Amino acid sequence: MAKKDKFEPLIVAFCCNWCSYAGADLAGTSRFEYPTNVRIIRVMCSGRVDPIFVLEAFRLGADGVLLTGCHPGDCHYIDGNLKAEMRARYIRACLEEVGLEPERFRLEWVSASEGVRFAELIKEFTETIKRLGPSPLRRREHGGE
Amino acid sequence: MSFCSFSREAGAPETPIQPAYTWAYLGSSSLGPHHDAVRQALNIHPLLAPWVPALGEEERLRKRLQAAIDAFKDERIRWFIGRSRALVDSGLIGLDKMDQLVRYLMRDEIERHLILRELEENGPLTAPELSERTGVELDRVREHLNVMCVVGEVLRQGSEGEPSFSLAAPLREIMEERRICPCETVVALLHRLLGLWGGGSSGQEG
Repeated sequence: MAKKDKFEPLIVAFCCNWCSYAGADLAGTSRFEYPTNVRIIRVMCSGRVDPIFVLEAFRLGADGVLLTGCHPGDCHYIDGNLKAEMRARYIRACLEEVGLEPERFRLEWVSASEGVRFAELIKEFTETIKRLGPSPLRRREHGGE
Repeated sequence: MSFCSFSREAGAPETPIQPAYTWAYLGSSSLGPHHDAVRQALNIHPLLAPWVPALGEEERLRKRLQAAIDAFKDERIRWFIGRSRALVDSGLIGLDKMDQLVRYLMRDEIERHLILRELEENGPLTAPELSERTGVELDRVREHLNVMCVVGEVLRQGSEGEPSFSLAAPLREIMEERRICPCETVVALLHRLLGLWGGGSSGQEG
């Protein structure tokens, strides 16, 4: 039981180079605090994120995966984020089909000037994952049955 | 962790058998030439086999995720997802219908990849064994096996009783072919809609 209380989720965040990563950077330089559960992976565009990356992250034990990109209309590559939006829709469907909670995956828009929003998003997503509990693939590590 | 390993045929690569799968393997109706030797070595009472244990939830989920990854490597799903926005924007198809279509395709692909992985891991298995091990309904397993037999990915063995199925080629080769060839999807549609190759409308959505 004590193990369960200590559950700290492992979250993988794919951040686009032009907006979200800069937003994360701003959160850091502005000293906005957010949980350390997130591991950021910088990609050039949210549209670069293949569904396989997300599924592989879950397979390797991530409790949650966050995909962040530029706001619609702001994409450096014009419509990469819109492609990501469609993919995210099917990633959620796939997670449902596989038997994982689709809430473990989320797509959000964060611009370069939204350091506060990035920090808030990470806090809120971490809380969501904590509520959901560890990934079924890591439950044994956390004292689950 | 494997406590027992043996090759199915002379010269075939060794397939480590995980403890949890050993009983299922020994319960299989078409076993390799080492069947009796393994039974003797493990001192298995004939009445105890066949017993196919349920896979743990964790193991099952891991396999399903792997199958989903395999499915997403195929062009047929990637094409649909890649074109979905353009198709919806063009008004050719509604978003809901597109969702249904992709889900339908995804489900089929995940289940087929689950079956292929099981056959690769365990060698020849019958439809009920595959259903037990993959968690896919028996009717759907039979249907997938029919389709995969028609396109030549899987071979049917045994004419009496429950036939067993095995891979027609190494999985890597099958996967490469699947990545570029959509014929399986076409065969599945003909099988379901027109009842070809012993199929028929199975009351599925889509």
